[in-house]
Amino acid sequence: MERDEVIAKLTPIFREVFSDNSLELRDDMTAADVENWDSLTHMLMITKVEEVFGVKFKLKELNKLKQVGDIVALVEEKIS
Amino acid sequence: MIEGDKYIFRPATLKDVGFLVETVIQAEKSLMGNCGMANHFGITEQELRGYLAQMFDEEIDGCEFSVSSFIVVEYEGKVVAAMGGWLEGDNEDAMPSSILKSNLIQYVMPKEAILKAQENIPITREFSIERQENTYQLEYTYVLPEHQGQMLIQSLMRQHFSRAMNKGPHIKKIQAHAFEGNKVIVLINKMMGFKITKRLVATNPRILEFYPYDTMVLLEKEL
Repeated sequence: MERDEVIAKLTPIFREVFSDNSLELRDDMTAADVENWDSLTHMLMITKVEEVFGVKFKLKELNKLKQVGDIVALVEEKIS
Repeated sequence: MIEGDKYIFRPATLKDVGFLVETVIQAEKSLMGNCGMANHFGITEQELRGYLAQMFDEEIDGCEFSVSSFIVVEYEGKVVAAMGGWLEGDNEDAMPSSILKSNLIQYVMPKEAILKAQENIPITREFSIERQENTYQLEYTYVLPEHQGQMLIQSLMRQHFSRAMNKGPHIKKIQAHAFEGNKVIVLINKMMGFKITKRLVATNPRILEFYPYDTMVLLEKEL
């Protein structure tokens, strides 16, 4: 799967979880940039990403996800 | 009779996980009778105990489910009290504690529990806590009933104050949260130099399914 395809599949997850239909993902986007991205929605977002891409993240991997670009890269790595 | 000079304060270790789980459970149940965190995820208290033990066993530093956050009190070889505290952002990847905690929960709990929590987010978000980087955070305290009244909470706080000050002169503030209705805890915090700096009042009456009161206060102490 190409990086653009990963982002295309991530975008609706982010829009749904963070309740923002106009949200456009950027690599440098962090929780601080997105309204409603808090501890509660974070775990929901991760759960949905795992579900949609059919992957399971390790805890050490999760704890290194600082920005959207990290999530995209990890998903790419997992499904490659 | 309890002899005060027999109390020993020390950092928690993995051997203390059972007591740390009890600390979280009792703090979550405090003044409610049932466990708000278990309610939030639609699981039983017993299930939550298992998940908490798994989270502590992961040894992730820097949040409320980190063994390294806790100081415990021993009396005659038995752990009788504990209090958690950590420097916000002071961990391997400089991550916010809220994200570390979320990752732990997401990692150990079943998907069904996470999705159940989704239903409750609009309610519980009203008490969503924002923790400032480089502030020292206090969270989760428990003292066994037979050792209450021995000023252990105050002593544990002082231990954490020392820990905070040892982190460096740039650490200027300690933060704690309490329910305003929990008069004893609020009073103890004030006696220890904390001031109420913020008040969160929930508007949804269902908040009482998860918390004992509808008003939470942020308490801060300057170092």
